[in-house]
Amino acid sequence: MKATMKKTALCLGFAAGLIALFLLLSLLVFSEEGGRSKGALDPSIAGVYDEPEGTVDVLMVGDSETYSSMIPLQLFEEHGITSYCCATSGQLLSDSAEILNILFEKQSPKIVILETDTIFRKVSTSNVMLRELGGIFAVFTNHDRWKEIGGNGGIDDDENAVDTKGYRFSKTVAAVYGDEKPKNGESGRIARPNRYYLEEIKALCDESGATLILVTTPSVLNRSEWRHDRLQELADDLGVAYLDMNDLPDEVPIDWKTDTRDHGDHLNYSGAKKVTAYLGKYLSGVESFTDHRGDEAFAAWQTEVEAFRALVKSGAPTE
Amino acid sequence: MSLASLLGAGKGVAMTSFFSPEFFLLFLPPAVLGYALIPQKGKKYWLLFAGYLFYWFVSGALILYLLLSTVLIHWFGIWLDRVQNEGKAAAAELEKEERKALKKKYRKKQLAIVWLAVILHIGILLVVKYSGFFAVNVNRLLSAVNAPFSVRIPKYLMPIGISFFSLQALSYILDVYHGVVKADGNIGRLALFLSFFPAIVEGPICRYGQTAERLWDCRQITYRNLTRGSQRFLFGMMKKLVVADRLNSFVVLVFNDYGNCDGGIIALGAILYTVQLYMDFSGSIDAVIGVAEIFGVPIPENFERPFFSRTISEFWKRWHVTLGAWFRDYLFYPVTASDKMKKLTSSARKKLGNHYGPLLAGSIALFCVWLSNGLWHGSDWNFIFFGMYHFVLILTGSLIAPLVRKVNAKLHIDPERFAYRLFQMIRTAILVVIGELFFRAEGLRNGFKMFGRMVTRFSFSSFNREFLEKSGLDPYDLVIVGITVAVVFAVSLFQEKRGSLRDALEKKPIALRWAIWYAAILFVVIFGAYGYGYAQIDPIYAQF
Repeated sequence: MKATMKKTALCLGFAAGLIALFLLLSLLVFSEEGGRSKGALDPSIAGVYDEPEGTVDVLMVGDSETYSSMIPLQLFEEHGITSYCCATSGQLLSDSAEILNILFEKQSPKIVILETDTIFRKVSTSNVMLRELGGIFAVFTNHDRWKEIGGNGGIDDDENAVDTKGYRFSKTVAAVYGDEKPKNGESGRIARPNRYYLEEIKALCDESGATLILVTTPSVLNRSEWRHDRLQELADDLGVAYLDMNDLPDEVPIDWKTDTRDHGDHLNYSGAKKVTAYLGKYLSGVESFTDHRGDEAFAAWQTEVEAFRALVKSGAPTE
Repeated sequence: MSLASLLGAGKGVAMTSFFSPEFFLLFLPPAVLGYALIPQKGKKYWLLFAGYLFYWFVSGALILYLLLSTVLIHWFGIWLDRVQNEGKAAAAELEKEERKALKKKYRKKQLAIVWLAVILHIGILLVVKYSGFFAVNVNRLLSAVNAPFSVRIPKYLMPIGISFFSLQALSYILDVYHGVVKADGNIGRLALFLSFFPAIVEGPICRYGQTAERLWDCRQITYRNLTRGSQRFLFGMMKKLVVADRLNSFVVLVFNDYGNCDGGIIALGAILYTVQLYMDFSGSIDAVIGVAEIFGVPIPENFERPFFSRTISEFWKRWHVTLGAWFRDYLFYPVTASDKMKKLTSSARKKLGNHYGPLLAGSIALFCVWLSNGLWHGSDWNFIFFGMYHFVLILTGSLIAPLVRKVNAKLHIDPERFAYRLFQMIRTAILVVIGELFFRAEGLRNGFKMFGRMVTRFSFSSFNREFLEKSGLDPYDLVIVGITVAVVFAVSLFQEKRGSLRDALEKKPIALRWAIWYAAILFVVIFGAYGYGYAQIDPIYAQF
């Protein structure tokens, strides 16, 4: 009996020590304050954190469909709207929620665009659990901050790189094959963990006073009727607008021989220009934005627009 | 929607990985606690319930395959036992000559039962795993001869772990046939043997004689088993979360987009994939053995530090040990011991001598083993090639062994010298990496293209900032992977030279032990590839 008591005490002691260590690390090293720094963001979009406080009108989140089809500098050039494309390769809805959570501390965008391809990327219950656990011990959500000791994940910043505000520029043309078929199956649904995060994103936007809009950008491989139907149902449930650009061939006249960089999955610059042109008009229709063009406080944006024009001329890709 | 309601709905719970929080935070603690609290008599039923619940979580309705396999193999075992007993009883009353004839008759009957069990189990595997591959190739042939029709390509949902529990079931019936174990009349014990939850997804492939009795006995959970099992689990978690999952994005990029990679990057991709596969599979097996250890069940080891192997043949005795042993005991030995092969060996020995003579029959058996091994891993030509590649390497090794010995003797090379052993280990590792390149490639054609590019365009010119960003790895990731691999190497070296590291640590003062385990836990928590920015990677071998 005494031995059992001793062993139980040892187990409890070890667990208590571990909890104390998690707490200490969470408070001293991986705390929320400062923890939500740019280091918590993917290096490819860390620049958004450097935008001056309260200066971004529109935030875009999503996966590669987003960063290959939305050009923030074109939105600025044509409408004076400041935006940032916070999309990353294979971004999950849990990532989108985390990015918005971080950025809402510094920015108060009027519109948040969620590109819908990410809605169909499987988020596991693990993500949800880790998030809850991170609420108690910040070390579980901010553990990747160990990389901050060397800045941008150990990769030196390229000082001459053009800040495309998250858009990944490519002029590559790889036409759709004649027999290209949509890759998703006959039917499907939005998984429950994904739904959990969608509701979380909506709640975050509501708290921050931003309007959430679901946008499907043109893609031969990802478009399908069932996806459209599920997204429309979702938008109705959440009470948000849904824009499917696959259904707007006149407004967004994508030519699948010239406007795609990889046979119909992602758009190239030519396609992205068309998407952004329509998006600018659409956004101006749903929200009144202050035109920042000519505003001294936004002079850096004008400089970036010019640098981007030069980049487009040179054709060097940013991905 | 709250977390509780999400989990309560029971949907979207993905527990294929032992390192998912669903498994080690939600499933495992209640399973262990329930086992500890339930009275001795009920413990086995609790384990059985936990096994089926776990399998239902990972496979849903496909649990029917597991149930069907259990019922069938139990029934075949009983049938075989009855025939064996009938034969014995009848033989006891006969004279020697008659007894011999009767034994032969009953042997045939038993063999027919075993064949039926094998055909049914392998048949189910063939249908769910290989019918699609078969149909695709039939269609290719039909198209080549301009046939006006084609066959429909069937699609079946494959139950997770079917390749593992099917082999376990077959090993049971074959062991009953050979008299290694007695047929079990208790279907519950057999069901627990096949459904023990830690081992059902990725093995190891246990034998009935190794685990069934121990599982059914159900020992009480002890402090030592709990701590040692948790330590083993933690070590596996480090391998999987810090190394294997971190390398995944790089490996995926290289194998999916090799057309844009230089040969050097493809070689690096193949090396990193080999590291990923080892860390993923051996890490998961560490978890399996660790969890089983908590319940006091010794599970056979599946890895014996394979990268210390000096030959390919030795490598396969150290890598996925239980699969190799299965093929050795149930395929290689029966083929070489068959009457025809014995005759072949005997006549070949006279003509070719004592070394090359037995090799002839051995190589036929070896061919069967490696064809089966390749196919077991997957239904595509690259897996068959993978098997044949190792068959050729092992056979060549055997063929040139006398020549190598002669050359070494002439050049006064001591094969036991460290430098020579190191050379052999590096050579074996390179051959393994090449094999894994074909194993991981998206089809055999892509495998050859990758290999060709690796050999003819070897450079690292595209290994730049853009590539690293695209690959999802940065220099810090590589440093952490390097440190962890070094830790695993150091532990392996210790085990190779001195035995169990945990045994050695057990003798150290408690403060030092706790400090080591706290450091290990924090290392995994901080440097693990999980949470924001990382996708959960299912165990690689679970798909086989």
